[in-house]
Amino acid sequence: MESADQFKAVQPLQYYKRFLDQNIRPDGRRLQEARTTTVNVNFCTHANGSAMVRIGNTTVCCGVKAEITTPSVTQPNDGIIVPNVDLPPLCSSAIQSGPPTDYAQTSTKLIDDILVSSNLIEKKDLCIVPSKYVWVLYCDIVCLDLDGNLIDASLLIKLPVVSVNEKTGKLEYDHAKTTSLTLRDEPIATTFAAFDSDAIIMDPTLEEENLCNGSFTITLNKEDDICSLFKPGGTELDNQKLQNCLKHCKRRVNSVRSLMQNAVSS
Amino acid sequence: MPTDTKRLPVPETSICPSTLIEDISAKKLPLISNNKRRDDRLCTQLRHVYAKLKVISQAQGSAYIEIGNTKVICSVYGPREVKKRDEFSMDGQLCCDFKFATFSCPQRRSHLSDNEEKELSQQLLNALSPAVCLNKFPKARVEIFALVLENDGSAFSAAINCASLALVDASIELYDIPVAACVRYDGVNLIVDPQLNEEYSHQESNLSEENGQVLVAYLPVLKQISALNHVGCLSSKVLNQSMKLCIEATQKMHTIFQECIKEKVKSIMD
Repeated sequence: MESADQFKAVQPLQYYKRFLDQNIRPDGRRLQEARTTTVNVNFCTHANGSAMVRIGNTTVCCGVKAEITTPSVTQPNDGIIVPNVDLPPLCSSAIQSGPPTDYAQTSTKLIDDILVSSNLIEKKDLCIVPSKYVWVLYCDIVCLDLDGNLIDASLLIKLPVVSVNEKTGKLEYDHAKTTSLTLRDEPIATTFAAFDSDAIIMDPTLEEENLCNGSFTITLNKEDDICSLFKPGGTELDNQKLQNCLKHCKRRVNSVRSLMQNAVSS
Repeated sequence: MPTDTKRLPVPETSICPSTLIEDISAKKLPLISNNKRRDDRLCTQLRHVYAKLKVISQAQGSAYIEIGNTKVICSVYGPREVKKRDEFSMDGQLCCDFKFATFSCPQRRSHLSDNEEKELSQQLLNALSPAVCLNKFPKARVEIFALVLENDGSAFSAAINCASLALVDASIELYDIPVAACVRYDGVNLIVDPQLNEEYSHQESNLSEENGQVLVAYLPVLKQISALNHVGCLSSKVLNQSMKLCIEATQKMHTIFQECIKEKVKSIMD
């Protein structure tokens, strides 16, 4: 047992490859198996909507706050959605306090892109009085425990959150009438990590993310169409492998979708 | 106006809808009616406390605490080596960071620390440092991060409790476990563990009246007070009384935390 630990410490990549050759991962998962996922909605009473998602050890929580603002001159009928991914120094020893890290910034941008491309929330729905008042939704995502696969967890969060977060009320007269916002779509992301020995694994942990030489994230919408594919460099992929991943991705998305429905309805 | 170039642009101003709805009914309601508080508690009754150690896998030590609806998570990293240091010292260094999550309060908070958060970080440091054996880790630093996920009153005392549990979880040597509690005085009654609509605020208070809030961080085994924070205006008699109530409350909490720590030790032994 001790020698296995030593081998892992000295040559972590070799250690992983031995496992991957046997179609299994050191934590006992199959290559295309995700970690246990739990979804919890509305944990915070001060937010208009909130959710907490755990994938294995990775914990992310998100609160959405709706406020009133004036729209931009060019798009007077459009509401504004501002996502932000925050990686506080609380969540990992690798992060120091200070301005957001590059990783947090790319994550924020990716989530913003997915929100736009999936048309999750129709911006026209957020309009109160054209060119005067619109809603702005601040979607703040805070990572509490960084153990790989941040994006997947972050995206999961969006959904249950926004389903309960709209309040109508005009600036002068205040109706406290609450209507929930219609969601046009359900984007769900799955991240894969590729090791060069042709092994592609789903839902990598932090350790696996650090060792692998390329990861990519596929986001599927309600109709199982791809609404975002994010692959920042890394090893090359051929079409065959990608199709294969897509198949696994669809399976994963279905299980996640039922999880979320359970969480929202309970 | 400083702009945050590392985050997506936000609208310059936005108004929280709850500020528009004048919530007179809740504010005018007396703190106590028929010996019961707004949430049906007695004056000295604490809210339900739930505490859990080891919640963050990446941290040396971490804790999560729920007091009623107030939720705080805290992690401890270290002792880590300090690379740059102005002065040599044989004592270790504590470093505290207290933050409200942007969605934790009725009003949205900024991503950057505001003055209140900076002040509370300093107070957290002052409350914890008398309890930590700093001489055990010379030339190193222990970092404590507290994040309030939901603020429903007494968030700062919850943060002190959470931070001391996280220190225990990180196996940092302590002289004692600091436990904090809060008491509010509204001119007539002393109430323990105030929730958000019972907390003292400068806007509402009338300076001619006696009105205030006291927070005590207590070391229950050493029977010493590590921090005392007081806002508002109180006579010395009331201050004494409220300190006594705070200490009683911390002793109740201390037994809960002891159970929590015992459970953790048991799980390690098994």
